[in-house]
Amino acid sequence: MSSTQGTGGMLDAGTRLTTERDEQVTVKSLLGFGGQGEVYEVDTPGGPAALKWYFPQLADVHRWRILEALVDRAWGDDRFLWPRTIVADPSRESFGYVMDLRPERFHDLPALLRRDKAVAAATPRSLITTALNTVEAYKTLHEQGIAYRDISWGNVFFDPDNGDVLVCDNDNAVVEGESAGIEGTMNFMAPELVRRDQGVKPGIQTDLHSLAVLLFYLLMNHHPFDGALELRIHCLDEKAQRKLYGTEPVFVYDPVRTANRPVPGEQDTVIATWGVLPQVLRDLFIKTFTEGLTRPGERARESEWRDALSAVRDAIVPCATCGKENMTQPDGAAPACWKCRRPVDLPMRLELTAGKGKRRPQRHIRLNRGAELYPHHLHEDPERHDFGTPIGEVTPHPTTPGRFGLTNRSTWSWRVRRADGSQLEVPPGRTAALRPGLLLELGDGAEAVVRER
Amino acid sequence: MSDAHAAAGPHLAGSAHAAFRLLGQDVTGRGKEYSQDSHLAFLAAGGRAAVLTVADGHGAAAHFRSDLGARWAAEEFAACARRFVAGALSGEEPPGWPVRREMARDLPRRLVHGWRLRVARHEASSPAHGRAGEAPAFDAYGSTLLGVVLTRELLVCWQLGDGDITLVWNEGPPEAPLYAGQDLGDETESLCQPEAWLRARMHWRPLTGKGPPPAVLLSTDGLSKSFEDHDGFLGFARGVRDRVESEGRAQVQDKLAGWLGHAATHSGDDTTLVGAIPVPLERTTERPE
Repeated sequence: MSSTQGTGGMLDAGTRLTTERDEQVTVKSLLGFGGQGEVYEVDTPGGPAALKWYFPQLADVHRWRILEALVDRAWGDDRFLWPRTIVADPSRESFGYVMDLRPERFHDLPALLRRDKAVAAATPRSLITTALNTVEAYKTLHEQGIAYRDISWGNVFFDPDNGDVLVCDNDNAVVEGESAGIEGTMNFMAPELVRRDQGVKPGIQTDLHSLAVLLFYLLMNHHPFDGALELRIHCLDEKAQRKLYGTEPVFVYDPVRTANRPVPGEQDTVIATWGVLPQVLRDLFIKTFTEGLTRPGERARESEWRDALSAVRDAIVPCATCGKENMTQPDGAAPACWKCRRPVDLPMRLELTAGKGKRRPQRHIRLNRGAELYPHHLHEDPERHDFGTPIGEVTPHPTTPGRFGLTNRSTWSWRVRRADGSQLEVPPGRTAALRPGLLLELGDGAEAVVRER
Repeated sequence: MSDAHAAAGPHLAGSAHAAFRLLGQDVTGRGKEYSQDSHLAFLAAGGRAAVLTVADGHGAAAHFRSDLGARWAAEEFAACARRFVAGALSGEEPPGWPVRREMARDLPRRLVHGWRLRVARHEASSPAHGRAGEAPAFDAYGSTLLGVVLTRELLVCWQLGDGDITLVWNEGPPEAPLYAGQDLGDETESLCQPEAWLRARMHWRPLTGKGPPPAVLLSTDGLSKSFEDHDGFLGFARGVRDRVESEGRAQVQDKLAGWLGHAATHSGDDTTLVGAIPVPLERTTERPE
């Protein structure tokens, strides 16, 4: 016989439930609360797992069908905590689903905003990587024809050390076009959904707005519509939320409508973060939060975000004076360091032309000490950025200070062409000395030239 | 015997049809002229919601107006909480959970803005450093803030800086949902920091189990620091709840000044506690509306 103990939630510790796969799960403890239900740690035959249990008023037939469809998809992507199996109990008014437990290394966005010690390791590079991984995760989902419908800061978790992401609460995802109402988080919703425009349904197009809001929070630590106008609000009740995010949204850095600029002294973070954001990213935010507000087709697409974020990641340069990482405009001029305000000394740049086909994108990689080349650099349309296995690394000359080389970390040989026409093979493990004008053939059709700045 | 000064009374407001009974007491630290803590506890939504808040002015030389800062923090929280209750919990058709949650998440933003306006207004007429025309000296008013809105269906806790919000349940140990570990020094998050609302923590809890906790207690760090360890403090919290159960709220309220005064002799700090105790459901439903 089993005994139960209160958890403060809908389910007591010790409660036994049965999954649709006829496995037994036992509730251990309450982990947290959300807008739709509660999350418990449970014991399953396969080990500890998480159980999301819906508030009874949200546990309807429609949600059950959505869950069934998601479980049937059996998504194996490690960037998503996907529903594994449905859990129900005829004696209870609700149901839920089992998913993997979120590893402790992942933290939510609010932890970043409040400068929590747990995310103190975050750097411009790890945050740009987080943004890039987030974009690619949603791109993968959208390419499967699935709309997430509830992208918000409560659903994406990140590792501050390396930018790995984990997308949770995937139970709102549906096949694009399927009718499914959602009462999401209004400040992340596309304005047409907040306004309840006739015929508009949450889908991939509205996800693109939510994704841009999420990226703005991640990189700017602020909401894109919270400027001077927001400070006039006494209570962000439903009416105020509809106005601010639906009927009258104004981007804080709208180049034309300037009434909603951030207020110094009240909203200093966004003033500072926008001030150091490379133009390539500013352009995408401006496009999405100005034209994209009324013409959803103008919103930046995932591939645009991916390319811009990848380019900015390649152009991160440490300040020679204070050591802080600076995001620079790819192929652009040297900015002043965000921390010490001294001019950032730009190192040499690898101008790389990727791929073999018609579309041969150009990439600009700043050759700082420790900078790395990855397989995605060589591909014209990489499926996914994987920073786990570099194929090249900028290393210091063993005896001459200030001189650097590019060490081949791949499993194939490179070819180097010098300005005098001579050629050299660079097998794995060997290093090519870096100097302006050096030409490299890196494999897969990718060619690169070293530029002075 | 403690030489701490005690204050309750006007900070505490009740209602005839209350779903909660309230506790509240503020004791001035030993040797201090006046307390830099502030607190409020009252019922809203016709007695269906309890609003609790405690603010702890920093008190050091650099924060020489922190008694004012703490008072305004508590008052601004009270104003924000009333609006939250009115917008999220009252009316014929209250908004759905996501909208309510967003309102709760946004509350610190409104609170900090309101507090800064109060400080700026005061600074305009009475600059802390005696130099008119300069930027307001927010530092002089630095304070922490704890706040709770509690109904039978929902508990929301907010915390900026140190202090303790403690939930005492019938079963199991008391819970400190926003506890961030033992402080190593006197540094704390504060309302006077730039964009302080970003540093506020929130605990959102729809009460889907067996209703509200039998006691929700808020206290300044003067209380928990008077105990050898956090477990000792949690034991005290359980004791308060048990005494309310066995002796009644009024008896406990009468004794609070003595208990907190004793604690204040150990910590040397101002010590404040407020609390809400749910009235058993059968007793509230018996009352005529």
